[in-house]
Amino acid sequence: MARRKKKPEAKGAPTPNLGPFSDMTTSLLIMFMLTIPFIVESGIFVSRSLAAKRRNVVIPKKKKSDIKVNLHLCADGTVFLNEEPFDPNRLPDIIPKLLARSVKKQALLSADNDVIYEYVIQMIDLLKEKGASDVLIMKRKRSKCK
Amino acid sequence: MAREKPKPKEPPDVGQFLFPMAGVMILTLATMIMDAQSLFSNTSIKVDIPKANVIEVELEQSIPVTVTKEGKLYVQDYEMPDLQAITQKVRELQEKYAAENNDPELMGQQLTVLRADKSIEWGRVLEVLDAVKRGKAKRVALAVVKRKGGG
Repeated sequence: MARRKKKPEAKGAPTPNLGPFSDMTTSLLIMFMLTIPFIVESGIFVSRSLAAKRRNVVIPKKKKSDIKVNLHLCADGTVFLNEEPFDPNRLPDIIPKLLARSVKKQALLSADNDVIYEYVIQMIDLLKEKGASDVLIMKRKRSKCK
Repeated sequence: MAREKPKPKEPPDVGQFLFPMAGVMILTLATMIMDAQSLFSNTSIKVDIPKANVIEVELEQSIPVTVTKEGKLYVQDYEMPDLQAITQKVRELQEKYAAENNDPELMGQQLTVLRADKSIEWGRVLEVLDAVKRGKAKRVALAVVKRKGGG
């Protein structure tokens, strides 16, 4: 039986298939574009209240002050809202109502030194989310916390 | 005598030139993805930044002040021995910013971003915040990363 003749090979180098490459690059680019808002750091503006420099904190009088939200965070998780202990779970409901009574919509925030930073950020975030235009950071020398 | 027609030239094989280009593109993209955080935060010091829904600061040239979990302090990529050094460095950078723009009114107007690890104590953050304020920084923001699914 006669042997079959081999087909002559195509001249030149084989062309690489770039399809998968472009697919991979495109999907990487799309993934990168989608995840970039969650990778890139942004920020929240805060103001350092002048009250921090005073020895004893002067709580603004309700009649004169426009500040209607005065939050204090204790290390044990207790939250004081306008000098009264308050359930932290009810804060999202009450804060917009209190801020609605204020013209400048400023909020005062203080915390014990040993409170975890993440918890304070959560509270600042909550205040801003509920409409606070400015969060004034304050330091208390005397705390009501146990 | 009739002239012989020239043979049509074969089109050049573009594929072999695109092959290395595609490789380089993928490498560049992968490097960008890996370094995105340090590219946009103006520092290479990595800390676990807390997450938040509300984002107020857009991307701009800022002075990053970092407090790590171990309590180390950095301004940009320079380690600072104490809070006084932070105050001094921030003041220098703010002065430089005003001088570069030939406007003394811009003194203190460059954004200073406080990048603190989420697990440190608030008291430490306050100390650093005060040190930054003493450095004449008027625009101070706390660094956060956008929470997934947040508004």
